[in-house]
Amino acid sequence: MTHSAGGAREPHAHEHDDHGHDHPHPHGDDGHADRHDHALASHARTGTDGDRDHGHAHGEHGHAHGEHDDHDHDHGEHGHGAGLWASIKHSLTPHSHDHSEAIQSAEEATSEGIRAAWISLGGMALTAFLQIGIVAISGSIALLADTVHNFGHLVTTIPLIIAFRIGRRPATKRYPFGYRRAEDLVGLLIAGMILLTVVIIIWESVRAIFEPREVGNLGWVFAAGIVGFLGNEIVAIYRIRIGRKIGSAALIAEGNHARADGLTSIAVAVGITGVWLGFPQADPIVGLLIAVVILGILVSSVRSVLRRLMDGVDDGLVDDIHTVAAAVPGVEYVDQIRARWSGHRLQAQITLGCEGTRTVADGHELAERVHHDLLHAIPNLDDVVVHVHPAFDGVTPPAAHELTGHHASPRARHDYREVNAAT
Amino acid sequence: MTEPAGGGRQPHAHDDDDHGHDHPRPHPDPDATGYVDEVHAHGPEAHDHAHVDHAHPGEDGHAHGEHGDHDHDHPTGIRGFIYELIKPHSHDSADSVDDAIMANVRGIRAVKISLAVLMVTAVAQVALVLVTGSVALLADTVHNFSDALTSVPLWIAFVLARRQANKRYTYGYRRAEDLAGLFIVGMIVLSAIIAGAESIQRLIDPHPLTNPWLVVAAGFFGFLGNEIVASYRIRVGKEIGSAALVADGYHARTDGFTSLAVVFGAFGVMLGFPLADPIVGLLITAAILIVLRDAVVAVFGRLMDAVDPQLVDTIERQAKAVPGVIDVSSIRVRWIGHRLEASLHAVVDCTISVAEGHQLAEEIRHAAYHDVGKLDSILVHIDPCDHVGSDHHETTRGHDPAPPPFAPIGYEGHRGSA
Repeated sequence: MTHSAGGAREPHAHEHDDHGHDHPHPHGDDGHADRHDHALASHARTGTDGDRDHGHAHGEHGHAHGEHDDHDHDHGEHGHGAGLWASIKHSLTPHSHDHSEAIQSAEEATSEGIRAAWISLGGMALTAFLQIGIVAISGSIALLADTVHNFGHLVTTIPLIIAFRIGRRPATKRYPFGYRRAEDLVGLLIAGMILLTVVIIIWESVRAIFEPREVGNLGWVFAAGIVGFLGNEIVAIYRIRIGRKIGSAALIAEGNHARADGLTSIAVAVGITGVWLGFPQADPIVGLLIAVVILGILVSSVRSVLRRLMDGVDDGLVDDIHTVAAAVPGVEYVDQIRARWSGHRLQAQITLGCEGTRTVADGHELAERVHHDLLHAIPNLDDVVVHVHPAFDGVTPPAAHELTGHHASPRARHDYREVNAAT
Repeated sequence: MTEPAGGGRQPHAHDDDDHGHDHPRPHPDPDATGYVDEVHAHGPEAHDHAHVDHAHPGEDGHAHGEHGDHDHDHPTGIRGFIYELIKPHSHDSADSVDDAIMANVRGIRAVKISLAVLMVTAVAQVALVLVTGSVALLADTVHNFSDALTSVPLWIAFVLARRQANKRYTYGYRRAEDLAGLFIVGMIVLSAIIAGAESIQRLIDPHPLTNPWLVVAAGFFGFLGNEIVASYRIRVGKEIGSAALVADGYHARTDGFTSLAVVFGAFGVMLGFPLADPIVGLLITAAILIVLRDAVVAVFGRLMDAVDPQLVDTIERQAKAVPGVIDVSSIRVRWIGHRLEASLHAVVDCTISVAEGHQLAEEIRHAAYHDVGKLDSILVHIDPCDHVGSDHHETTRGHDPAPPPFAPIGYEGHRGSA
């Protein structure tokens, strides 16, 4: 929520860089932490992949996740099983780690997103250069194509960085909600690139069925495939982790894009192994199997990006907002709640009842308290507009909305016109 | 959709009036957050309200011209369609108590009518194909059929828009329309690519034209059918505020251009300039790209939450004109499908009661509903005046990540120093 109410805004140090150290008002720190854990228990997913429910409680109460360096390790402890498989399974499962990051500011989140995009781009470039080295040694033309494909990530990562940067711009009269939606549109572009990857791998596999490839330099091609897989998968895990943390569907989609490319590389390596073992038919079969896996990744990416563009939010978010707002003393009832993503930030609207005889100043203080508690409890929440209804004995009389009643519904508009036509 | 402590649900009109349903009517089992989990489309009742749209007596202020009673007098069906075509008119955007459901009905009707016209066009071409056995014409006909079907996603989106909001889609499903618009933009790109590729192919490898007059006739039919559909869609799309329908109109227009290229090309061949065919094709491709630009601007603007800046000014002016409102800030407006959604902050005297403050909010909302056409919902946050010695935003000071939409004088930027 932005406050520019008359002279009420005095110049003050904003907390974007030092948020969390500098609360101008005293928090009971313990109670505060408890509140986060409770409020978020049912909202353990900023995820965008939505309805797949992850049936595991993280049991994260009490431990600060910090920068998540210990991320995979933690989950091992929580019974996910260990090793690479656990890590893959983990990153395929939508959930968030950001309980302690609930009040990360938009600026921090955007900076983190941009940093992650650049670092991952570096990772992709490194992978591509390693592959180029292998190409140079082996002289394989087929490998060159795969390497060029890896450079193709520039096509999506650079627009994503641009979208993050554009998203920082302040709102204008033409764009009253700011420019964050650019990120979701780039998410759509990324989904298109994943689709292209699927099409390419299916095309190549089908072609390989009819005219088996003559593969030379088996050892080098195998090595390049492994390098491509590892490089892409590391980048994928990193992007998806940061994407979940900051709530960016586009960054998660970009991670899935890298994963799809990594899977393409592993298909090459497995195909080579088949040739070694005397099963050249393995090549197209593995290719088609991998294509199916990538198709699954594609579906989940498309669904999460489209849901954002449709103003959809995660299941449980509205309930969480309701729970937090209703718990604020003085709130008589909680009415209409609306929320949507704009880029990697959430915007919410809430209507609540306040004792009608109190002053506007008191009512506003109640609204501010709800706003404040929501900012602390809901990860990635950027903005809450609170509308206060006057309540008398806990009930808002119909008269309170008499003025706009004739706009409230088609029936009301119809009746209004009838009445006016008669008089 | 309140859950008052006392238990009784009192009927009252509140902010979410865009759902197209009657609040005083009992809800089927809403839960504590006010959402009905089961979603359903609103059916026949839509028509009941729809036709009274322009009978609103308070419309003296808006310039409907001779079309004030438009929906009552117009003949329906194909006659109505022709009537609308020959009497183009624009509905004033300030139509105050306009109706989401009516707009939806009009949108769906436009999709159906234009689909029918395009089908008739394609069938006429099929007849020519059967008579002549021309393979080239067959390809064009297939193209026209597939083009007619691109408005099906838009139809689906209009139907989806009737669904009520729920906990997952708290603003309803209207945004589906903008995504359908994106699909349509993609189709226009495809049209441009096809037109360009064919021209270049004919430039390199000219093929002899058989039955030139027949080709002219088919091309003419194609152009006429598509252009009629295009102007109709664009007009209705602008009236109801649907960027996707306008984009679909542009799409039909590009297809009409393609047919026109065939006509000019055939004339060129008949006059002894076979090169005219590909050259006209390239010119038409350029025209399609210009049309494409308009469609892209319209559809991506919607997806980026862009609005006409004057809308913000209008809302601000109206809100400030309400007696008792000291200042207005943080005005936000956006399109959801073909309807507008807004919110703003209004500063009032902090010593009045919540009930009185709410009444001012209601007056702001009422003024906005009457002055901003296509406005579906507006939420007003009441800020107390800056009382001596108190900071009314102390609680959230330091949590506010977003800069204010329109920075007040003296505002230093949200990363600014103290």
